[in-house]
Amino acid sequence: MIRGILFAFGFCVLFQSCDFKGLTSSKKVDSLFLGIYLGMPAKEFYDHCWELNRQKLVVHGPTNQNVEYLMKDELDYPVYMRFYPYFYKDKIYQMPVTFTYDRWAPWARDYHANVLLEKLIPMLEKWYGPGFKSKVDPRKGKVYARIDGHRRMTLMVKDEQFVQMVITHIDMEKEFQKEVDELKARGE
Amino acid sequence: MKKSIVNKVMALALGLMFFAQSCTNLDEELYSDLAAENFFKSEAEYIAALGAAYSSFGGMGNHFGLWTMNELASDELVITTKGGDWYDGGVLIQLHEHNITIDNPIVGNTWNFLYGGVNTCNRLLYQFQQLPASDGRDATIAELRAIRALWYYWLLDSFGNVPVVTDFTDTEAPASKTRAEVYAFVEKELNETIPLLSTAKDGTTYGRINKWAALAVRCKLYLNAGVYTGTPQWQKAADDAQAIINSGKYSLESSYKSNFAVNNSGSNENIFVYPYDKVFAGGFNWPMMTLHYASQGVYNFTAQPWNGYSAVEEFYNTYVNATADTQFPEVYGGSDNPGTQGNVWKGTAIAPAQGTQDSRISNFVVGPQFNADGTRASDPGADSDDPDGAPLTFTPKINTIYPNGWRQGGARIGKYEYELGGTPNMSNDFVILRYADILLARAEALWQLNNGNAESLSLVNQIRSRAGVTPFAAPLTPEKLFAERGREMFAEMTRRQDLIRFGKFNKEWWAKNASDPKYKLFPIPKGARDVNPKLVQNPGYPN
Repeated sequence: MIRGILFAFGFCVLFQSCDFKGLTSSKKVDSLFLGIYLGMPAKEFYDHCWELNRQKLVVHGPTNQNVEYLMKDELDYPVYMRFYPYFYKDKIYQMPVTFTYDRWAPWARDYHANVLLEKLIPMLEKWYGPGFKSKVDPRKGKVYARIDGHRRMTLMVKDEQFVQMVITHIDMEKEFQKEVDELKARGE
Repeated sequence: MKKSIVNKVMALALGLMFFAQSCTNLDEELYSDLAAENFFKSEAEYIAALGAAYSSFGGMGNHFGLWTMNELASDELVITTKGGDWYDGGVLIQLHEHNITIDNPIVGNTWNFLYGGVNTCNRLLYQFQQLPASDGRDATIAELRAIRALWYYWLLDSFGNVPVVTDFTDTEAPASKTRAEVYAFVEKELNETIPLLSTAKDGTTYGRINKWAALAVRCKLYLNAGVYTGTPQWQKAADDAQAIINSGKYSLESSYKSNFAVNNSGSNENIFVYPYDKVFAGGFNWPMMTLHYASQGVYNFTAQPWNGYSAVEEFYNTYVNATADTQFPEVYGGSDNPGTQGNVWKGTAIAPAQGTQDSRISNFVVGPQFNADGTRASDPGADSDDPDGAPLTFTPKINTIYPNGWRQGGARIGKYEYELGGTPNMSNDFVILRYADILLARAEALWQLNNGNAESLSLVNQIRSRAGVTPFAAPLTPEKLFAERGREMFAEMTRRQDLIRFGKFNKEWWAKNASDPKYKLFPIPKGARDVNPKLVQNPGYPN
């Protein structure tokens, strides 16, 4: 039991230790994208995605279980945005998202993730307002992050192909962490 | 059972050694950083690095990629449009009807998936090649080259002429190689690496390319050599299959179904798998993709399935019909499946019919469905013309591919065991290479060399006997070989190859007219050519 929770928790601690000073805010912000929000009940999420599919906005994505939204016009070239949330107590508490150019290829360096990352930040600041800050980790390269109320967002290059964004509900994460700590203490 | 658990843990450990760095250290590895301090220094780090190469296979068991592209372009599976569901811009039907456009996103995703796998191997190879020579380094390099050969084998098979990129640091857009040149590259890589790969078949090589897995890839390469290069290589295919047989490492399981069980890591038949896990390595979600919304209650799933993939009725009938369907004779003629007769589901499945009792019918979920509590599963949104209305019954018959396919139409994929109370992610290991395929490959190759070869018939009949159906009498015919491969290898991504090799791919089948031979290859995706004008489009597709 605890192994499963710890595994899920592995995602939620991503980037947590990165020291981004001055990012804290008490403002309540829960919106994500495409009408999805942190804390959204699982059933509502599935129904909503179903409706987005009917509207031909999203399809089932490849490579693991995810929903795929093709951003046709937001950037210089089409970009696939793929997402699938983690639920805690049947509500979205974390949303990992990947971005990749539709024209990515090993040899097409202009469309690699490090280039895409820099183009995504202005686009995301249009969605969420200005506020991303960056930090260069000696091993991991450039990491972008921001905190708005209880919503934490981080972005970095995952590999040559994908930019990884993780959006987390900080309060739910704390609650989840507490539960994990209690399970650990009980040795489960 | 104990062995299977050990295998699973070892294989998961391989993936998790790679993954764990991402989780516990708060962030993910930056693979494009080629600084020397990131190179691998110990045997344990070699193994961990290999995990990155194998994790690329995690896209095999889900929708919209290589598996989808191959299966939907064959006569095995279809995704009908069900009113407002599953149209997805027509890209799914395009594959079934062989009307594939250069901007089909499934084709584009597959291209990126395959080159993603190549790219990871090239990155790791570059890093390992900087290290001083050692047994561990050289063995790892050989394994990575063999993995990369598998990715190129799929590129060769799907797209034909593609660039062969082997240098991670090369930034120049590459030109396409001819299909024959790509074939030669894959063959050379396998020839050079097979002698260097581990011969072990145990927990240390589970979920990895050992010598036997690489031989299996080369066997399949040779089996299709006539398609790829115009020059068949039947003897070489037969020889590689024999080498695997002679190893004594693999054998047919007594139960076909056990190869696909939730805990299938103990199978002695599976040669190469991707070890999925519902917690640690998710992404294998066939029950979601194929079963009906109301199937949630049948299996007590934690989530509601999405009602997508169905089996094509005439293909399904090759299991239950002692005498072949008269529909679409160019594909199904000679597909007789003699055996003990008993109750099966046919057509609209209103009542049981008589048909062949083939144990491989476990490949399908078909007929009336019952909830875990024994009550009849029900579909409140059943189509007005559904044969039996609301009670959930998967009918082998499918009324139409578009626009209003029956919600309950079509036998569903049942190949892998679905866990009661399961999550959207399965723990069954996804079978990529299997011994039964190798036996049938040898049977076919020997038959091609001498159509009176007694061993060919014997090998096919080993497969039939395991399925509990009547062994074929001589003579073995291409129709029998083709149909037996179909029954045995359903949903294992071999049918498209078989249809092409046996000259049936462009014939008419259900909801598909006779098609242009150009569709034997998928188009080079438009997005790829937009950024690399050196890529040559496959013949017949618009430039």
